[in-house]
Amino acid sequence: MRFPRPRVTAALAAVSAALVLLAGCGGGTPSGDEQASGPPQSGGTATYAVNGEISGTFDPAKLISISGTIADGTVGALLYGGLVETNPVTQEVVPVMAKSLTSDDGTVWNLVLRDGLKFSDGTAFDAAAVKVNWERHADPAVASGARGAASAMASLEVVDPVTLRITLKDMNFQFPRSLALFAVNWIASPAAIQAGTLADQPVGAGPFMLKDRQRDDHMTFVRNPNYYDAPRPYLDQVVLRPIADSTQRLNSLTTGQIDGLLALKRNDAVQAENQGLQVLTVNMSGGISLYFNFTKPTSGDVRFRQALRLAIDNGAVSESVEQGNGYDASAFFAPGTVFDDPASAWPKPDLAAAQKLIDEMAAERGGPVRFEFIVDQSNEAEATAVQTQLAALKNLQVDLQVLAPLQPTQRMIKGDFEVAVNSNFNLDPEPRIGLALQPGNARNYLRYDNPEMTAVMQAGRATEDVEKRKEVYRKFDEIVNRDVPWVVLLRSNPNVIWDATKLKDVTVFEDGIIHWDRVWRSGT
Amino acid sequence: MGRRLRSRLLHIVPVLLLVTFGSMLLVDLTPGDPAATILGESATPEQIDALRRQLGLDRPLLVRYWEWLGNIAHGDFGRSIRSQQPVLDAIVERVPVTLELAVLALIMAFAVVIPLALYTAYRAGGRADRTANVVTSALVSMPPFLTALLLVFLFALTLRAFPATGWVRLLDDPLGNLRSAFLPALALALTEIAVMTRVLRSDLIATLQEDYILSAKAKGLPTWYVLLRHALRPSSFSLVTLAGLSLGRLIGGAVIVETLFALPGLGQLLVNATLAKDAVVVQGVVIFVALVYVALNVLTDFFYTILDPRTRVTGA
Repeated sequence: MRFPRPRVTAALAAVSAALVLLAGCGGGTPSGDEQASGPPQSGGTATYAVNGEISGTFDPAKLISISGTIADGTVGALLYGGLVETNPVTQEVVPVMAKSLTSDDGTVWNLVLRDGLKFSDGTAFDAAAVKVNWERHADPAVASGARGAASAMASLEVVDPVTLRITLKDMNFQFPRSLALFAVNWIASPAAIQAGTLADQPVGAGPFMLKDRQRDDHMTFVRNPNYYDAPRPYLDQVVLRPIADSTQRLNSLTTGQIDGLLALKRNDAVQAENQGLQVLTVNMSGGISLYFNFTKPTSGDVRFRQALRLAIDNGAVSESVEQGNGYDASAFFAPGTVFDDPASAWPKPDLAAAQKLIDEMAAERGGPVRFEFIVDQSNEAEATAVQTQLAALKNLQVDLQVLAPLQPTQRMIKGDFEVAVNSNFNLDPEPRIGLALQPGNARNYLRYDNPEMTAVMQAGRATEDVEKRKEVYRKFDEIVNRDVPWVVLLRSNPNVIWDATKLKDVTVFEDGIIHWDRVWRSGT
Repeated sequence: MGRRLRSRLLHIVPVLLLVTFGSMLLVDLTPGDPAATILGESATPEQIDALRRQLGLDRPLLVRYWEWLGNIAHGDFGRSIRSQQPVLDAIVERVPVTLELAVLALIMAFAVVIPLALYTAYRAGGRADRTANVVTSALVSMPPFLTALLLVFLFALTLRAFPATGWVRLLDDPLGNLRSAFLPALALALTEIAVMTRVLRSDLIATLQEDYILSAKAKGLPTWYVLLRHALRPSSFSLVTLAGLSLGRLIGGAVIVETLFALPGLGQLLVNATLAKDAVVVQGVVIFVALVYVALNVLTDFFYTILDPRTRVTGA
């Protein structure tokens, strides 16, 4: 059951739009374990493998982002819950600890919290607490990973204990998506912030509290008795185990040492399915992509970008990297997602057409077209597959450089690259794609500046009406097909895998974070 | 012994300075930026610069090294750039895991090496010796990650006898601890078994040619007694040296095995710190491992004097 969303009527077209969120309705219908599993039982422990340690500390300002693909997302959700979250199927932002988040003009927003929220230390989780947290994220001295999201707020005003008025610097009806995706969604106890103990002794209002931690081995979380949604959480404990190697994660599940894991490789999911394990895949648009620097002579030439897109068969990349188990990646928006339109598919691979474009460039330059291609070690397989395909083109020389983790990203941030591989997968174009294409934005690694695209993305933020947004993103598809800011090589859909004989009612939000407050263990 | 110990301790100072500066230099020279690692891929260049200044990473390498040395002199190993955990705490937390693995691996190795080397040396050239040669050659040429994966496949996935990953603390569950340590320790032990068997066998073959062995045999002493009592001890010099070096290497370098089995040991700490360019942690681990090496060398020298009392006089 969902709260009825306010209609944008003709009379209010200029100013009125709202995102109204209902609390206490089961949190929407996120994808997950649909099978009937009986009434939840309390008690027991679930052990879940993540692919590494948290990036920094338990302080929300040091947990990088709300993503199931890294430990930070799961840890933050366990400790801090969240004000809102994105349903990965409907792509709607739904409430968790917020009762509603509404705006008439997209600039001034009212955040209303549930009544009686408390942190695990017993202090009040109120509007003032949210304000303290967000002001802290915006403070440059804190060096928060969510500073960008917090800095988009011009002012914060506590209206009453449960209401916070947020004034944004720019109108944005997709603001709740930024809230759902960045660490501003996690509110820590101001008392713990004041005491400076968040790093090791986090205090939030999420379903679980940190009990103990042995670095690189496990983190144990126990039930929070102050959690707002009693009798949830059902589990007594959640144990997270960082296991870096994906094969070992799956082996650990197979041998019963853990109850579930997150896998980024489709191959792991296929293996798991073959072993009778339950798999939940989150359908993401975009994927692992080639990124082009528009300010460099070679990658800035649209003929070069189009040639690469025509030369690269991402089906063959999938065949090489995922042994053909990968998903269709013939358009930016994944099949079955809200903004998918089969008519927006990219042109089919055409080596002759690609060669013609490269020959044209080579003739102008009086020699072969050379470019530097940088890639993180983790994407070496995709890069090698691309290099192999590009070898079929004459007059094209690829200088592939495999770099240390995060180094390609840092070079992209500085604009010191021609072509790079970047993870570009999203549930919704906002906020990440919007920022990636916004001139002057720090996330615009492409140095892309097309006023037509800027206007299109702004139009996407200027409405909350899904049908209008669909129209907007048809235009987005057109421009992407023309300008080729990226070439999607491989869909990168997170897979949550678990033993369904042990864990019940497993559902996820965002890109694969489990609703741990809803999970229960069979036979406890 | 005391003089030698003092001499060793004096020698270690330049060694420690060299290895810690070298490790800091290497971490500094490798591509990447700890500030960017901490802030993640969403960070702006301004945020990264601000954090670099906050962490003091904008200062010259020598200044940072000098400051680190000053802190070390006061017993302060510093804090991890990434996790803010005191480095000494991080090391102390992980040493038991790595130490237990290393010791268990050596115990497993000795349990196999001594009888195997004695038998193959005694029956040198026989079928068992030739078979042992082939097997040890194969084990030496197998990288530990491959050995580890094969062990996981056989004992964890197929037989379900041992866990594929994870660590149970000794105090929490001693039996569970042994189960969790068995496969990684065996993966480490197999390489040691191969090398040590070959070394001890060669030394034993040489010893068994000595006149006093012939004399012992001529006296009618049982073969097992001759081998254990007369041949093994004088043949153990190389083995003891090797074991000392192996223990040091295992403590500092069980990197692959700890990563594959997801064990919270020093190797894992070192890998993660290196990837995150967390120089303070890398230096802390390096200085710890260097100290362990020196301590083991001293211990090895001590064992020489037990094995051969002549070395107390000659200082051999």
